Amino acid sequence: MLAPTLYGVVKRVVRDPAQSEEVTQEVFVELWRSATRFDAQRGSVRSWAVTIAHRRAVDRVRSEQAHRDRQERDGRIAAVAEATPEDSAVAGEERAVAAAALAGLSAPQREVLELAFYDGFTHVQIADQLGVALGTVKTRIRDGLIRLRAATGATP
Amino acid sequence: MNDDTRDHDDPADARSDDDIIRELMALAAVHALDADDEAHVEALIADRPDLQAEYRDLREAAATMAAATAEEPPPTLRASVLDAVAAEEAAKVVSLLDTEPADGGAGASPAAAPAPVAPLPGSSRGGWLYPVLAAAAAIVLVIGAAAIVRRDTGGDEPGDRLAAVLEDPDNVVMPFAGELSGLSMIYSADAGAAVLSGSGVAAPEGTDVYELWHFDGETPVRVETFVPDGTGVVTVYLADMDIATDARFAITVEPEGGTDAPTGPVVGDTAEV
Repeated sequence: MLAPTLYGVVKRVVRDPAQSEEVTQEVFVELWRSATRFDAQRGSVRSWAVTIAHRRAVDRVRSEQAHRDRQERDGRIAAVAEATPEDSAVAGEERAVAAAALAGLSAPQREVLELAFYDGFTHVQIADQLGVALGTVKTRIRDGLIRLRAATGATP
Repeated sequence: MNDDTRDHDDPADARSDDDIIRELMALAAVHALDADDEAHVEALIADRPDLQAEYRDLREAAATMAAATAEEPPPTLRASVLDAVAAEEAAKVVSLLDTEPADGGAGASPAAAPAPVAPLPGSSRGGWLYPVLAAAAAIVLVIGAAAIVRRDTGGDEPGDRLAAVLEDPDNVVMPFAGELSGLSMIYSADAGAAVLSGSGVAAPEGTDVYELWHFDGETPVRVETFVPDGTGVVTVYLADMDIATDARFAITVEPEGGTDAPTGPVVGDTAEV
């Protein structure tokens, strides 16, 4: 089932439950509209759907002037792999595999990926926030994704 | 966008263009670029199957991050999605829903051709098969097969009638080949109805319309005329359909109002899939 994955990532980025449901609904409708344009050669159904969902979620938070304030209010990102019993019941095995893969990243890799993927920051914002060079952010993101991909059973 | 992200102050930065593109691909995979830059990166690799394969893997890795946050959506989500889809389509289909087939009329006049049910090439049962991924499959896909149940609100609303076809686990998806390959006919014998659905459909020129034909043997029988909406989406609900699952449909371009026999070019044909 994709619904928990899509709703989960949207909520992780947007955070507000009401807005998350609204964005997720928009995502589903967009998927419905664009279903016939899905191209299996360009990736799995899951990555296609996640790409659309995450893009919309990121667009939503970037449109909010209070993005940075919200980040500060909520504090630094908690470890994403902390599955609640309720969540685990939804997509337990897949989530566990993903959590294990994330746990296998180095701390710097996980940090930049979380800032990008879960907070919706651009690489420039991440570099600014962490006080590191842009190139460092790019390298960490790329290396982190490659490591994630390898950990989940494929090699880039 | 500045494609060259080399550090020109660093003489040791001797990365190749491909290395730079690979870094940008990773940023695009997690949407760490703005939308315009992301589109630019995808354009850069449009003619590079090797880099596209790497990009696909990076996006799969990003999807792993999404899986790590999976969470049960609120129960209201499914209903709101179906309502949103129904509301979007209702304006286009509502006028057809109560149209009784009329002899030679312009409304839905599906040809009746009872025949044994038999899966055939070009048809995919259950709406699950990819890459056809017609609307029925898409709805099942995004909401989750286990969550799909027919709404029991009486079946009188446009969304219910669409859902009766799209959510029928035994529906048959008949994709079109040709210029309108983005279209599929989804037929539910149980609902006695079909939905012509798809996207990416270019509007015909001027006042021309598309006309759907069902073949009774070798003879094309007029079914319905249609045009896509402003976004290229087509959803035409066809009531009172009783057809074989190996039925053949074709689409031609015809003058406004349609014709009783095909005169224009064939732009879609289920027999060619």
